[in-house]
Amino acid sequence: MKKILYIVIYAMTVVACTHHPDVPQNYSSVNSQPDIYPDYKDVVIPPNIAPLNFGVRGNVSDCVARFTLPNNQTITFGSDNKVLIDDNDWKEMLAAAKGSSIKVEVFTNEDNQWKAYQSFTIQVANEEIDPYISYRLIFPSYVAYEMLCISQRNLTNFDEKDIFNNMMVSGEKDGQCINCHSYQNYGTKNMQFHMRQGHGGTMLVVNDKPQKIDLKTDSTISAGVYPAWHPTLPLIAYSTNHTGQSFHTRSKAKIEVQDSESDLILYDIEKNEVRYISGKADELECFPCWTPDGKYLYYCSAHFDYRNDSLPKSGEMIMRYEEVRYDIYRKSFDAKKLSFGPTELVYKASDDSISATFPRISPDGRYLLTGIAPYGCFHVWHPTADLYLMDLKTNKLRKLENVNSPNAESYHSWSSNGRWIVFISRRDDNNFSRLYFAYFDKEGKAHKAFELPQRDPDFYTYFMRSYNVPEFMKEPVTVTPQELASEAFRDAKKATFVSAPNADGRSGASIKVTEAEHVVN
Amino acid sequence: MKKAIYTLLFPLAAYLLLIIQADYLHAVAENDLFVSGQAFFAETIQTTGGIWTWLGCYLTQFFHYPWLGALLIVLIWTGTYFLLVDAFKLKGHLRLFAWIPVFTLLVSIVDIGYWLYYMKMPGYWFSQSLSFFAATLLTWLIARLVRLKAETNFSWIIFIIAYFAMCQRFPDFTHRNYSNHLLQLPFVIAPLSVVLLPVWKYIFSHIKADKLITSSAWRDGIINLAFLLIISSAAYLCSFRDANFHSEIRMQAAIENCDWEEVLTEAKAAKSPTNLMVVFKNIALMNTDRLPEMLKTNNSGCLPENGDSLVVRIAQIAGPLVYYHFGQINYAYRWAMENNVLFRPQVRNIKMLVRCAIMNQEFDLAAKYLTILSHTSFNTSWIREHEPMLRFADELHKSEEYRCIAPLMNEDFNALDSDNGLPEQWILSHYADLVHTQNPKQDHLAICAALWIKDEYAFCYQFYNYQKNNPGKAVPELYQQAAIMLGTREDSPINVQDFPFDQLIMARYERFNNDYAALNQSGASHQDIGERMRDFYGDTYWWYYYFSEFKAY
Repeated sequence: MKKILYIVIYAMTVVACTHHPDVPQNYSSVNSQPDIYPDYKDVVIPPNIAPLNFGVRGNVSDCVARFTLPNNQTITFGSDNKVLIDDNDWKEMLAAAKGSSIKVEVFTNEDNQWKAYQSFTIQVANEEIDPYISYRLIFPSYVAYEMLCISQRNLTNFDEKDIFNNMMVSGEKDGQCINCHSYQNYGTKNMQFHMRQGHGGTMLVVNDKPQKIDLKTDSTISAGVYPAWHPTLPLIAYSTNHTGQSFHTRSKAKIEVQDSESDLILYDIEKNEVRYISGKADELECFPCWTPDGKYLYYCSAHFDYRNDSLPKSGEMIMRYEEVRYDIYRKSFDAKKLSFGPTELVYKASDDSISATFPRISPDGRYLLTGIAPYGCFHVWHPTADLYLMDLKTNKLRKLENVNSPNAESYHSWSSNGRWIVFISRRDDNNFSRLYFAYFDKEGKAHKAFELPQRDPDFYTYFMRSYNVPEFMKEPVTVTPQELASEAFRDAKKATFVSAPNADGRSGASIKVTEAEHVVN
Repeated sequence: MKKAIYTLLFPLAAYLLLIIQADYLHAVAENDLFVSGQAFFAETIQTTGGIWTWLGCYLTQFFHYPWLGALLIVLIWTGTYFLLVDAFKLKGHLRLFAWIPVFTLLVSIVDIGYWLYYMKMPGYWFSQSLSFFAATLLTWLIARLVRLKAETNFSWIIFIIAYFAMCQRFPDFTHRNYSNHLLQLPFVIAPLSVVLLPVWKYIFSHIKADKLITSSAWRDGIINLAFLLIISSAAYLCSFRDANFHSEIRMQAAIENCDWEEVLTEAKAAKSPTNLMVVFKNIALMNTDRLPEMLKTNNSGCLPENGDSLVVRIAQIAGPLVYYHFGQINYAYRWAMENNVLFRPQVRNIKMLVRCAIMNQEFDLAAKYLTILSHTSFNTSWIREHEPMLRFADELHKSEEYRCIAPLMNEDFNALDSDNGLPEQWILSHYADLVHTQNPKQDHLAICAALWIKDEYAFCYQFYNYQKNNPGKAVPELYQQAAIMLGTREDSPINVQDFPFDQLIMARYERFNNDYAALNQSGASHQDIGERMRDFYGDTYWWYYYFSEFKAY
């Protein structure tokens, strides 16, 4: 129904807006570039991206955008204050400009006078972007979680479908939070996401067959939380977390999400077994990430000594929240023995009085992309959070040029060819997370990021949900929401804990267990 | 002519029943949202009966002017009546039965009470009537097209099919573990009463009652009036008439307009106010620099009327508004967002998000919400008032809201905390424990918050803090009363001898103690003593301390 409606509306819009208007004969030149939204000025885009429809801000009653291709062919679009580009024309434009650039001139009618703004370019890279991306859509609320969905978007057009929607299984008495979707090596045959509270469990899809698993064991502090699929083996590394939320009374950060305890575990899918990777009592291990060859597991850990016995851990954590800083470590992995080597320090962020989270290794293994903020683990709520890049050849860390903003940049992923980065940013309004893409060239330089294109440029103004956990996919998820919902209603298969020797940390002894709270981003 | 008059009486009665609850109808408009444009339409129609929800949301806006919204819905009902009469070929007094579904729809609007805040169905107030009207219209059209004879009475079958074809969502009155199935009854009775129309026809024709009754004009009038009286009375009795519920709505509206005197007038009229009304009253007193007079009107709140099984919380009814007026912008923002997500999008929450974004100087965010609001129908003046605040600091600074709230916003103090869903408790504890007050407004709020929640230690600290910050100023009577009472205790840090307390207050406290002792010796119960002493000491802290119970919800 929704699709039919979109098609009808789009057809009407196309008729109204995507005719090729004439460029005005008389106009005055303006010595600046136009104020367009989303901002696609001077960006680098993939040759297979959906049309970059945009609007023009200001008192604009009409507008014309003239696109000049490398072969000097021109094509115009524009009506009212929007530039809506025909899908077929756009594909031809991208094909013609691949490896080169498109010049865009914008003319606006303001108070019955036409103005011509300085042109900008859209550079079309040679390297394609993965055709699909998935994300969770969530209202930027705090505790409530109604209408959460994990969706997949075809980046080459505007098609969006639900992978799973929590309202399919949520009731008034047993609401469900869904989070942390993840795939094995950009494929979708093997994927997982978590369901918390009502019908809780980890939805594991192996070879397109869903099964609900309970990863909570008596020996681990929670079920699996942040996941990392081994690139080739049927293994998933997870963090286990005791997570809580508290609220700032004045700070624009508004929310603080904190772990009072966290460890790392390894889940063997075939044997349905869980074992510790790392579980030091005074370390908050989190955010596992495999290297593309699967030989190392990177992760973050914050050293934190609880000092006040009279307070619960979460209470002390709230009082000392600014002291929590995560460093980046790694462990070698022996796939035959399913064992990990000793902890190796990669970057001691705490020495620089900052906190590094979500390490992500580029597909060529050369770079490590991480989110950095003054403290804490949930940087989407830290307005000063930025993306940083470490060259693993030199171990030098630098702030990633061209992509950061004064507001929060957070959860980031590499495309499968390593040429594109997706991340979430709150640059639009410091409240709603949006998806931004940046080209990452062979010299290790990032280029100006652009926002996920939408059919209607006004989309983001009216859209009241945030995007989070963007993950590239080479193909769409084919298991249907109905199949997932059907499995969600079944009892979860309980994982068993295996007491395995570790290079450090726990050996499987039983520890105090309390249920982890879910996290809403 | 007479027939026309009788027919008009019913819509008139329904209109009057609606319009006497104008405050509620206006709140309905504020607690719903319609945004013109493709995005809202696409999102709304995804759900079952989405088109009715969308249309319902559109028309619910008209309750912004209660007379107009009421007129529209009464017109829909009247149309429904005429269509039923014609589709079922009702004659004589049988026509009266066509009013039954209409009155059940009326009841479904006026009986929901606090579900106004908890219901998850946008556009509820019009969507049910619209889908019912559409089902009736379809029945009428088909009946006309196939020229059904009155005797065949197949219309009811068509109606049932049409009713289900409309795909209306059945309203659900469930929140967490609480639900009220009685509120769903109108949506069972309404279609059932239509299905029963042929039964009445059969009975009437069988017993020839219709002919008997219509034979006399005065009987005709009596029957019409009696039916009107019965059905109107039933609708009135089914409506949620709790005075505090309506008073809370009026107080909320007054606070949103910063009309403090109106808030205080409402508070004075309340016999047994709810906690929320007490909070509203004290916000008004605080903003007119009279907070130390908080016990001069009833400060003992009660729980709201919850005749049904809903457990009402301030967080959901007015959490954002309360936090906002206590200067806790982040928490106001949080609850406006939470309530928008948990229940349904609401104009009042969007307005609150705008307000908070402006106060937090997040102007891009405020602009986003204002753009959304600009696509609603009746908020132009509100937007015109607030939009300049984004661009001109002067406009913000000269607003009454800023004058009232800015002194409470401690720019240099941030804490990480959680209210556990109890705004009133959190706000009072937060201010009672405030270590560094920064201005007289905070001084008074801190000390009054301590008294309000009967936190003796916090009071002692804030009392000294007040003395330090306000040297030479007269100490308000309320603070003296509390200091005298607590200062006479053995372990009190307040030494009564150190302060020049008013001798009359000290004498009155002595009398209070003596009266209490006398009543206690007479064997009266604690509650009885409280009631008997209320007339003499109800405005004192002593009475509040001993006989009033503070219970946040």
